[in-house]
Amino acid sequence: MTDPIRRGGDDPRAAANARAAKDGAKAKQQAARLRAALREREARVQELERRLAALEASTTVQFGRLVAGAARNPKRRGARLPKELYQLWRKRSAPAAAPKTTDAGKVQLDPVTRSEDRLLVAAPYEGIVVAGILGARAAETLAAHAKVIRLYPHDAAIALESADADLLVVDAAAGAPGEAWAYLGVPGMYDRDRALNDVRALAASRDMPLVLWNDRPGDGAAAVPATLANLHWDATAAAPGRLAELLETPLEPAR
Amino acid sequence: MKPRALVYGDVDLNLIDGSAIWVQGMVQALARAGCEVTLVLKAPVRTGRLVDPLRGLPGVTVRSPHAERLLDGDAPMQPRTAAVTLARIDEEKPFDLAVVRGRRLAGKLCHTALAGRLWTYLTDVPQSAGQFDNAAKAELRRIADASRLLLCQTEELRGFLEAAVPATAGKSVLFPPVVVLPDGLEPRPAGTPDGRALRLVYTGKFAPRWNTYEMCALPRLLGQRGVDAELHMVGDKIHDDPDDPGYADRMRTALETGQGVVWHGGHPRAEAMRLTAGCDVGLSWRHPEMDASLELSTKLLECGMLGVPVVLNRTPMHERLFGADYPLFAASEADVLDALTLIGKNPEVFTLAVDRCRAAAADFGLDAAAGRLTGYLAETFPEPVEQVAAAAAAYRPGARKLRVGVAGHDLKFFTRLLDYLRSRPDMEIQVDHWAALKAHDADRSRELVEWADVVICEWCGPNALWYAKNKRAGQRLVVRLHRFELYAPWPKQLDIDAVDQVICVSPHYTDLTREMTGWPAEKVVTVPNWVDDRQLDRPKLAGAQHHLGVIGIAPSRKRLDLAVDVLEELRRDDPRFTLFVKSKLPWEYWWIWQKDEEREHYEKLFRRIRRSPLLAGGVVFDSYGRDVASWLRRIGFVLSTSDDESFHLAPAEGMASGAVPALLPWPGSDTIYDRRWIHDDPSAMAASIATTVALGRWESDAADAREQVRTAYGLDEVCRQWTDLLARPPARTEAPAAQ
Repeated sequence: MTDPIRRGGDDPRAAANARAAKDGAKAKQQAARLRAALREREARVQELERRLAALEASTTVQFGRLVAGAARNPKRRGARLPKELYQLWRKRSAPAAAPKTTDAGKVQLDPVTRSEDRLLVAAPYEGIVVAGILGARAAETLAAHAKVIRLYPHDAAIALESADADLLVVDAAAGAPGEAWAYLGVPGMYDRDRALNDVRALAASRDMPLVLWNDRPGDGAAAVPATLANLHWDATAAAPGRLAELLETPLEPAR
Repeated sequence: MKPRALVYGDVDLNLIDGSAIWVQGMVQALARAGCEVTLVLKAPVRTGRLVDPLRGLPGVTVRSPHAERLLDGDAPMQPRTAAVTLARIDEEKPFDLAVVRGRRLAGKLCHTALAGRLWTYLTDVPQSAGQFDNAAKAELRRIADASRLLLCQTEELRGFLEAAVPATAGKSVLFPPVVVLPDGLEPRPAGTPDGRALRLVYTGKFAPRWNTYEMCALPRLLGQRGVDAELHMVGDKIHDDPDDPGYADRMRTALETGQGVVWHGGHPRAEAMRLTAGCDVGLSWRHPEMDASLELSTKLLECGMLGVPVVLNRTPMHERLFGADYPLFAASEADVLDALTLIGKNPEVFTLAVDRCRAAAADFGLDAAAGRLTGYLAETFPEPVEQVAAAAAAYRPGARKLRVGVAGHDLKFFTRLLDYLRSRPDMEIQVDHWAALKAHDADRSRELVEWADVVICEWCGPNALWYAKNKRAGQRLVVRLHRFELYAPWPKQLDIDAVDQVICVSPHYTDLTREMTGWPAEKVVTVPNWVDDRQLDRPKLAGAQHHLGVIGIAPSRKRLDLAVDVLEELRRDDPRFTLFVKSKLPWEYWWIWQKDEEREHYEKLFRRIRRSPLLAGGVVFDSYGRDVASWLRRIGFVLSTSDDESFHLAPAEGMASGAVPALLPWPGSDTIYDRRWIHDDPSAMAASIATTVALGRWESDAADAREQVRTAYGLDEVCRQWTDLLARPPARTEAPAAQ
């Protein structure tokens, strides 16, 4: 089984996968830029539609249309012109219905369009910040040594996208029953597998080290669920001290 | 009439490998299940070893397109050629079903006339989310759309596919490997290897991920532990590993010179199995990388059938098969040595392991496979009943098929029943799909009126009003009324004299309908919603008893807040209780999100979940989708905390899946569900759940619940009720005056 986010080392497949992950991240950014451009165009179209509606409703334009119509077809429309002009004059001061807006009252801000925008957000903290897919025990252990941003299956990508984190830590025990990530690592769990894959891709695109947390190494390989064991990790850690070491070590150049 | 089945495996039956054995097993199992089977060969016959025994089976025809000159040349058929050839063979006399194996072939067959009759056995499916790209999903969606059934080797593969490709949900059924022992092969004699060396056996290819090099050291290492052992290696394919150029030489040397290693070389399957039966323990200890596989090794099952216990990796799939306490699970070399030392020295452990393996394999024999196929055939091709034919003849003398028209704008609650009606040989079905609640093609509707004997209006909306006004004299009109319409104006406008039967899904709504409309009581009857009990019946995952499930959380009357109350109480004592929500999110329904009171409700509720230390991480919002059956494998209790429901399918689906239902007393709930599952308030519900788990009653309660739902709302029972209802004699009502 191949890990599409695998990077580093001399393995040409791993390097290709690393490139693919980066290309994916670039494509995502490009898509965000295009979405932003599209939103801007939509706003302009809406503004133009509003102006056009106002213009079409104006007495001046309607007067012009009536006269031009009468000039093109004097026999039929010319005869109706005086009556139509009189009606226009009568209605000239009547209130007109305002065009309906679809999002009345909704506050529209410029949306965040680039993942780099997170660099602007202040989050003062002196120490390691860990974004983690964690079981309760690992979360407790890590919280004593680092600021922990816990990711859950439904918010992992959203939370990581805006998080100011140094590492992505995935706990080998996160998929235990009774945890939010229950069954992560069990073969056949597509939704958990996909959520993990998405955050790993996001972390890889930001050169954030991917760390497998296994605080029960004595239990042997069986402690790491099968689908997690098959993925590439920049490091494995069993104690909080190891995380600090990792941050001091530059990542392999193939990243 | 026996169903006529076409089988094509995209497999060269001159070579005996796993896929060829699959074709052989499938043909035998279909024949035993009562089909007339036509096997089409991919390649010209060079050896009759596999094909000849099949030709001799009653009801089996073997066709070779090469020998019949349907093709030029002798080259084995490529998928594209095979698809054209199979379609041509089908044209001669169409088959009822076509069992095909292989993703590429199935992809080609989607575009032929066989679409809709395919029973596709999928291979080469991506096995992780990272590998599942959009092209693969699109291809599998096309295959699913064109298939009547998708045969999945394992529960793991089925769940994975259903979540990744929604079109596969509802069509995916299990068809695990079929193990057939060669004729005349005797299993291993019972008893432990007393007084001689413990004989270990491995058959297959020699490759790094199969740990075959490491295996060669086992006899020596066991000797150091006082266990006399020898290793019998059967096979001649040594993997050439580009990442490790020295591997092949090392492996060969280990086979030739390893202490206690006996290398038998390559042998045909029957001989390899005979050698296996002469040994004591099979080895299927592999690299952990292979533990993520969604497929099941046939060799394990063959060993089990031969009475030879196997050393293998511990995976959830293997635990389910052999039991979590099976003594021969191993991950590392030390584990393997421990396990072999244990059974080498303890005859009772050896006997236990043999029994477990034999029991596990029993479900993979030919009879079990034929039994599965018999079930799928019965579901796909229901037997005709005389009553339906009699009704058809009463409408149109001489007719044998009842014409049923179905009209409605949204058939999502009717789809499964529609599939069933379509599959009946004694009915013809046409659908008048309304573009929207009030929009339809009047010409199409008039055509249906002209054509149908019976019209079913799904929803008592403008469709029912139109058909009541325009139906023919003597034509039966059946209207299915849900909660939504009861409070809308249409029932009051409906000409009830033109309607023969109004169907409600629960006794409570039947009473309410009678009360609110004043319609004659005998016209309003209850036919419950159905639960696809066979699709939902899947093994639970370990630890599911601590997992609560809610399906559908919008609008606010679904009362997720009350389910959260239940969870909060449970987590105070045991943080393992977790609530999994399978639903679209409320803001994904614009008509709900535009209401201020709805938005306020959810904003408050989601804030509570986010901010509470007890709840954050205790509520998980899983993605909405059709993969409910595989999702329910994780769930131990399904909650129904709504203010109001007409039936609420979720608890019933949960019950069919082996979960315990837990309901609050919404009006009418006790007319659908046993009072035993209905609790006065969230606290009582939480207390009941906690007690059920603490007293170890979860499994027995779930079994009771499953039995209840099967009896009352199982698909077979509800389909029977609908068949009875549709087969009633023609209406005596007059044609509407307005016609």
